[in-house]
Amino acid sequence: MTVKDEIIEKAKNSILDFDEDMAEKAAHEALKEGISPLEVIEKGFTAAMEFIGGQFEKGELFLPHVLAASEAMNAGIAVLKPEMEKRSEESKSLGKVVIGTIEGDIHSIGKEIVASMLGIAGFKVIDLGKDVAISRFVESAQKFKPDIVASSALMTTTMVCQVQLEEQLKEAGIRGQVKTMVGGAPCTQKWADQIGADIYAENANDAVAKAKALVA
Amino acid sequence: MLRANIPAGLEHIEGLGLEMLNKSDLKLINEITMDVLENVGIETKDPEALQLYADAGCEVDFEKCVAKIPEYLVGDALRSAPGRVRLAAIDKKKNLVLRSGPYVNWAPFGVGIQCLEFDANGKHKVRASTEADLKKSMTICDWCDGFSVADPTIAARDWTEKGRADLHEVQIALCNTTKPFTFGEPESDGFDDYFEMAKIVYGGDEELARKRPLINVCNCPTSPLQICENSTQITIKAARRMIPDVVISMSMAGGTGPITLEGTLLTQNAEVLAGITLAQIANKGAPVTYGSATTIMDLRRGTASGGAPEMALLSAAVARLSQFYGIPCGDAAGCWTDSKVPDAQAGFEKGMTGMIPALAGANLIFGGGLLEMGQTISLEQLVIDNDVIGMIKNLLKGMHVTESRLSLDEIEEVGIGGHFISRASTRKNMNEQSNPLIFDRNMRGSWERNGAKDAALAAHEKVEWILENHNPCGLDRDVVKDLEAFVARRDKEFLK
Repeated sequence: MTVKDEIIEKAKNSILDFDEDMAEKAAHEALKEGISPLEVIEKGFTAAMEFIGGQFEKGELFLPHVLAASEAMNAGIAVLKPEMEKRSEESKSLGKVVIGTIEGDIHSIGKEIVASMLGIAGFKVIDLGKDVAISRFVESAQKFKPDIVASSALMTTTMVCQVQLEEQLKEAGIRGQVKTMVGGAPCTQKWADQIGADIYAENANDAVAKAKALVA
Repeated sequence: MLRANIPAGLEHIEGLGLEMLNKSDLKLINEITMDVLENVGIETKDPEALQLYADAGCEVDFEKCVAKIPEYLVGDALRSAPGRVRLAAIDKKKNLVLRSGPYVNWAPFGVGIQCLEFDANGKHKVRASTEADLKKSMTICDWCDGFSVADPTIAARDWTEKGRADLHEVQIALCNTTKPFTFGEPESDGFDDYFEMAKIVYGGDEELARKRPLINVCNCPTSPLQICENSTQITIKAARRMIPDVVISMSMAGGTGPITLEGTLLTQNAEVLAGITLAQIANKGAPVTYGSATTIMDLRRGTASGGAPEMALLSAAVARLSQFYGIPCGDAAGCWTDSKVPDAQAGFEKGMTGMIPALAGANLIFGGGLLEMGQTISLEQLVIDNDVIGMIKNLLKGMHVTESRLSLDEIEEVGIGGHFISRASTRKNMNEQSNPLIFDRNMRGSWERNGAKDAALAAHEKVEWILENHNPCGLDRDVVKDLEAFVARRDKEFLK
């Protein structure tokens, strides 16, 4: 096994062991050896993540494993990022998603799960956090030019802001360039239809499946 | 930050419990039970049992067939009856040791006479049970990890009059589980045959068959205060062979017991203690346990209710009594229902009657698969009850307050906002969570995509899957053939 193979193997194992420290260490070693960050990500981190995702779909692994693996991966990628930018490498992605929990709502755990799962599936995710002002959604949509703008709401009192998001995207003249996704406990397909959102996702798996179908 | 010191083991209780009946209640019940046994006595027409009682020091009226049992004899019996009774399994790892104390285990019901059959559309019909139903039921009980034992739940009625139905049932049980089981309909004349069958399982090893009996038995006194001859003979024969025997009173408050639950608790206690005493007179140290399927007679309908809160209370009281006596409670009715189908009534009644005796620490709660007060067994209900039992097991865990479980370190590390899903401690402990197989916890959309099944339909699919995929047999082919040949010979003799 070459040094490169060993490091890539280590990167893989760090994800399979949900070990952030090991992921960072593998990334540092890769930089030291001058290995392409992109190669470490694709052959190491992403390959392992795909395995974890498969196990999740089969019901062998669960959310805690998937999120922990994704955190380990993010820790590793954070180490590699400056070098990637220097080399102007960019990892492949299925598409870009801007996501956030809507203005007035701080119930963000579901959104975080969706964001992680989209990231795992191969989307580039820009997570705006919770209680996100409508204007920030619009600004981010203009800045990052995402394929999807996704908003979550847990309460009937905050889900009405999803209507405003639709309107303000239209006012900014970019509604035609993005697809919108809505989710959260009170949201339904009917609600999405009513406000003109493109996708309703019931849970993280649903969000991933529908986002994938959209960019396919 | 505050760090607790290590506590001394005072007032430290693990898990959730139900402290019903205090010490003075239990003492009073015991004292008056002794009064009943000494002054009213127990009737049995079995001359051998009467002679055993008389020789041991009871005042026996052979004409009236009544034995009056003095308190010291009952006391001797309770002292010599073991506090631990092992139910041996074909797979030794699945042996169950019933211990006096709040250790809860679960059993299916035995013995129903009808089977509720489902089709793929959730339509059902009820019919007389068969040997094939029993085989399926054994397979399912063997698969469901909620059940520590796999008692035969249903009678092989297709063999009635055509052969030795009891031996067919034993054979099906031996060949279709590696868990221990209690045979619910033993014939007192069948013991030699049961022993022969256990011997065949042990490859002809007589000593093993004696030391690790596989066919445990039960018997039921006739309330109030009678024990029929088949029942006393089962107790005597089981005691002499050191076969675990559970004496199950099936008294009905308002019918065969006083209308007050307290009064019925007392007469059923007298009946069970009379049986336990007989076992100990017949053979000191015999593995006999305390059982109960005592409930109320619903006086408006004339039925023995199996889903009444009163039954839950009586079963819990029985658990407390057997703890008081220091002998295992080898069967307490629970997870029962009066409902005819697996519906809302069954769900609630089973949850209630399972939970209350469990919280009181009954050692073996039997009722899985039962419908209609025990008349009918449903394979689907067995799988549903496995979920009910699983959840009650989670309830029994209660909360265990320790510094490490209070998770201060985790709370400090995650801090404000964020989440605990991806923590290593979450992964490590996620198996502590309750995890029903049939009861649906998905969002509506996922549930609809999965076919919008209710519990009975979901259970039906699980039943089909288990029957397709689970092989419960722990015996070699030759042993199975020998058992079949043995039963066929007995069938022939029976028909002569």
